[in-house]
Amino acid sequence: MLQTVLSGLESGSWFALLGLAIVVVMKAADVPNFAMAEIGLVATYVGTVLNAAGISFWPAVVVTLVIGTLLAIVIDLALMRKLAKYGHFPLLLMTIGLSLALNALIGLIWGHEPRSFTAPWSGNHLDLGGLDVSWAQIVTIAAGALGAIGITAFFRSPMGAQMRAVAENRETARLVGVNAGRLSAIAWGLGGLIASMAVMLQAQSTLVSTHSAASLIIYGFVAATMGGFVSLFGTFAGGLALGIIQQLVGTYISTSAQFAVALLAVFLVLMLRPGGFTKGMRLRDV
Amino acid sequence: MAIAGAEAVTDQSARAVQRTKGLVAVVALLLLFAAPFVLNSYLLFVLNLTLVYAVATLGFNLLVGWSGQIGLAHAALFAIGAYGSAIAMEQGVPFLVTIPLVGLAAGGLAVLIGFPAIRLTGFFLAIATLALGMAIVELLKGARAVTGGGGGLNVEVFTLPGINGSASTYFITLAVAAVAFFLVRRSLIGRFGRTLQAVRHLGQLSGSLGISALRYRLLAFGLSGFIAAIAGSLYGQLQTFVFPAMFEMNLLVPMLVMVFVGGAGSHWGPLIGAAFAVVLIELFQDLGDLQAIAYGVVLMVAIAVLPGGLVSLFATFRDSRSIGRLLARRTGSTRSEVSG
Repeated sequence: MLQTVLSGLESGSWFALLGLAIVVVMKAADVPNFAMAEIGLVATYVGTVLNAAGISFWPAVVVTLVIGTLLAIVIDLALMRKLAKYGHFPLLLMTIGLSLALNALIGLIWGHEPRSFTAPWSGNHLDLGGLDVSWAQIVTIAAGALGAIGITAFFRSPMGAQMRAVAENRETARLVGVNAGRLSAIAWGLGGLIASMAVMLQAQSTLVSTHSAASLIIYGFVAATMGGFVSLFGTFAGGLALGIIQQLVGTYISTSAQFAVALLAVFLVLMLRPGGFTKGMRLRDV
Repeated sequence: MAIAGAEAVTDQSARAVQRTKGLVAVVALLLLFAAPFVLNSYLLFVLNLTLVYAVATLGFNLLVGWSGQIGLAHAALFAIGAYGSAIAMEQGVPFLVTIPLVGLAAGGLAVLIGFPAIRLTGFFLAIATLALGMAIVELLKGARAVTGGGGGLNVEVFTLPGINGSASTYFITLAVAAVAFFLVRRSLIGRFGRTLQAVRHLGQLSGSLGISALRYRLLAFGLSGFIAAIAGSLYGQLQTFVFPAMFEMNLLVPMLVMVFVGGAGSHWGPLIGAAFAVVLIELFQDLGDLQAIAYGVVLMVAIAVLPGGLVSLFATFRDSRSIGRLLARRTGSTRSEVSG
């Protein structure tokens, strides 16, 4: 049972981070981004290639995060910016088209076979009183929590406050001198950074491929839905809860029911609490 | 006097435009009818597939383009049609009877799927319907006893007496497509289409005009599901074998391409969009990943460059008056008379 919850927390951290990446872009740029997992996957694949070419682990990690950030910023500047005036739907479709194209591009360059990002601690385990904990799990859960704290702190900084102002009312924010375009690029960059972190964490623990990106994005959206696409805390908690529920379903019911349960969760949250399940529990500023 | 004369002339040329349109439609139908006698089996398959997708897109366009709701369960409803028709035929129901049956079943299901529309709009609705659509496909995978699970299901092919298999499938598709386009166009031109647009633009405010926004939103869902399932049953006949992976994102994204490349909210966009998408599939079919890249890129370009879709190109051409001048000559009037 505890073992299952532990692996749930691990996969939940990936979902939570990806959900946060989606929410950050949603908050500042008002785009529901279906291409987030693929952005992270492109960056992670570059990292694995560098790693395989003999570049040591930490420099490869840094390059991965930088590439994820830059890729997201380029996408915002080159593709999204001009469409903003047409409203939500073209932007949503644009990210769907982009995710399809990026996914296929990855397959074309690197193939569809699963890969992993080998870390120095990969394969090492700890024994905590009968509980078998891998270092990969510790790193993932810790990095997930750190990432969430980092983003929350960012949204409390002056720049984060501007971002919230833009999300609240773009025109008014611009009237008082907020540079909405620059903030949107920053939010995309931040989203790309977190998404590459999520996919990289997944890759150092298990295998990732073009197929895993497609399911990861759905779980990310489930987590974001649980936070009502606004609440950072709700998204993070929702991601972790989703991971645990999913592992419990996989262990005690059936692994083939995992996906359906996640979909059911989205539907129930949207129907019962469209504002996310933490709405009403007003945490200040989140 | 001059004004009355001008009115008579415009009236005359309007009638001429109507006549020309009718003529074009009849000629196009005749050409389509002759296709099985002219085309080889591969091209006939491509044409048949285009018509099937055009019908499916007709329903999707009704929902997305006309009523403005982003319901993303369309591929799953299409799957319901393909599976439902095949399973009903296994039980001994004749194919032609299964067409309206799956339509009604999927229409009812689509209304249920649309119920989140009471509370959700925009992309929240998109995500809720996407989740439900995916759940339907998961269900098709899971219900192995009935659907054959992930392995798929053989479809019994129905043939009209005295006509060979693929030509018969084609004729049925053509007949259904012609009727569907005619009926949908008739209803969208009239009160129904205008009401849908009123609801789209006014939302709940349309209540002050005595229009129930909710009823029309759900009606759009139901109709789009009805049409999707009919197209699905035709698709099953064409493919003769169906499996759940056919109806996932790899179908939903092309359907979106068809709606938006064709032109959302237009009458002939679905046909043009479907032809475009099928040609794209066939051109790139041996290229694997390049096909998906092409799809993604075309979708992006279409959204960025042509928000009105390919249909808007024709409209631009029509509004450029070159056709108007041609018609004016045919009806024996000149531009100076019209303006006079």
